Amino acid sequence: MMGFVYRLICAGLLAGPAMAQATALDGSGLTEQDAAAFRTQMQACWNVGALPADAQDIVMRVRFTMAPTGVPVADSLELVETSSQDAAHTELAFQAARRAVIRCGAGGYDLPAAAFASWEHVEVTFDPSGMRVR
Amino acid sequence: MLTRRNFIGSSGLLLASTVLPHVSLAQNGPLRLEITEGVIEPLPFALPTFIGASDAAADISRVIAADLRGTGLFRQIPPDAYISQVTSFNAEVSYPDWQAINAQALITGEVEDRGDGNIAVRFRLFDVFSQAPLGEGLQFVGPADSWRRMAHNVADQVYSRITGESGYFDTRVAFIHEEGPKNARLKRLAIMDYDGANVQYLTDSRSLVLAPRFSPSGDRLLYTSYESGFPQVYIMDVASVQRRPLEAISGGNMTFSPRFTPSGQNVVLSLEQGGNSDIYGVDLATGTRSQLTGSPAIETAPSFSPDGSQIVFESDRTGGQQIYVMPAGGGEGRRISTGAGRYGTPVWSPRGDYIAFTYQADGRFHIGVMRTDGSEQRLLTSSFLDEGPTWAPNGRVIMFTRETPGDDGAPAVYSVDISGRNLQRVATPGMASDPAWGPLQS
Repeated sequence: MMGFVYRLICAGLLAGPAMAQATALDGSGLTEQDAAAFRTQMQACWNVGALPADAQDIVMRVRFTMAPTGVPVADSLELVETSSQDAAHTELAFQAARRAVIRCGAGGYDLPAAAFASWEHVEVTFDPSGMRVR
Repeated sequence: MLTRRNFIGSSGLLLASTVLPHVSLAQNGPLRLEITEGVIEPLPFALPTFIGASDAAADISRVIAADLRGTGLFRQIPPDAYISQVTSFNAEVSYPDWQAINAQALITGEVEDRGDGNIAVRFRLFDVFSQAPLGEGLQFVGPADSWRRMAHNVADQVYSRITGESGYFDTRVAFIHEEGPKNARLKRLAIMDYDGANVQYLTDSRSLVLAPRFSPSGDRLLYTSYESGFPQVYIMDVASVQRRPLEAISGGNMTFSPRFTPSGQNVVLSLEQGGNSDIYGVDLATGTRSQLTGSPAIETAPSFSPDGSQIVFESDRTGGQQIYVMPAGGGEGRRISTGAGRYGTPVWSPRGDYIAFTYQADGRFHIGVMRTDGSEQRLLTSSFLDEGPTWAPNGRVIMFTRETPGDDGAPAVYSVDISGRNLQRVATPGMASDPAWGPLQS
């Protein structure tokens, strides 16, 4: 694990702006740029506007499987971990996360087919800290 | 338990995030992503006109859509964008057609005329992208002329299933209807649906009336009337419109600013004697009155916490008008407002988490909310004159009076949610003030 972190730090510090040059840091074929684009696509569909305030604070991790077409397998979505002990609010927040994953992936996420093995299984942490209603 | 701090730490991404935020490209295991910013926007829904031959089907569909849109949390997709047509209540949902127009929620329904003066309204709610129903289908049966209430019932269910909060559509609001020029205003006690429909007048305009307050069950109203020549609190049975003075008081004294206790068995009000106003409790069964405050200051506008243990009120005991909280049995009270301006008309949220208030500073009036200890104060509105907040039963929306300036200035009722969003004027017939939001009717 430390070796992995060290490699990421070195890459970041040494590469600087050249990080925009997509490189597969782990040899999987999925570049940082691919993954960031994947995250950005999903983020655009994460709508917490209709959630109650208490559910908008929940941090949760969800796991799902992808089809080779880049479409998430809807039935595979599951909650891995949540910061809330309130089951009702957790369920609402999970549904919002679920909608984000499925809705933006309905037409297939833009991911390199050759690197399917590296994005076949995905875990996403939904953390609303950057969009808290103040 | 997972907290934000230990969550990030336990994920093993803390160091990596300084270089590659939100992405972890591990050699083994799943691809890990972190999303910290999404969007806050109305949730798009589709609502094909309910199936049914009668006008009620279209009317009910229209009211449900208006209820949901009016929250600011939902956006209706125009029906002309629909690809699928719903021709049978029990037909399979063609999810791809609704996904294609980006509908996230789909509401289908039908209205059946029972032939005995009643109608049945059935609905289903679907999560389009999960391709699954959101809860069970439900049916409401009632007289055909109560179709609006059934529409509100459906909207309450949809709102609750998606937001997790209870709804507030099947509610009524008491208010003061106003007519005439500003210097000779006539006022009548009235009641309407929360959306301004079905207005009923409960008093005529011969006597000035002010500040109605619903009982917790919505069957009675307290209000202040000048019927006897001086301000006096009256109690009215809403169904029969029978009214009486709350208690016999001698001329020269005034009672005003009443409010029910959460049990509905007692009332608190302000009694003015000799230029001093204090807060009293009145037992509705016995008529017994008990004094709850006793300072030489003006103390008024009492409002109970939902558990009935505390009363929030306004007082000028320190010179300026501020908000205090005291035990329900009376006592000194502690000041919770801290701003430099004047605070008034505090009202405890039905959820118990906030106190709404009127705030005046620098020549402007505001509606605001604060935590019950006075912290986290937020001003939600600002205008020439905003005053008199009242809570929706779910504690997430506030109505209040907004008056425009000048000789032609007129009052109107507005609503705003507790984040300060979605400010809207409530459609009333003519001028309106002093709204008091009642409980859910079912």
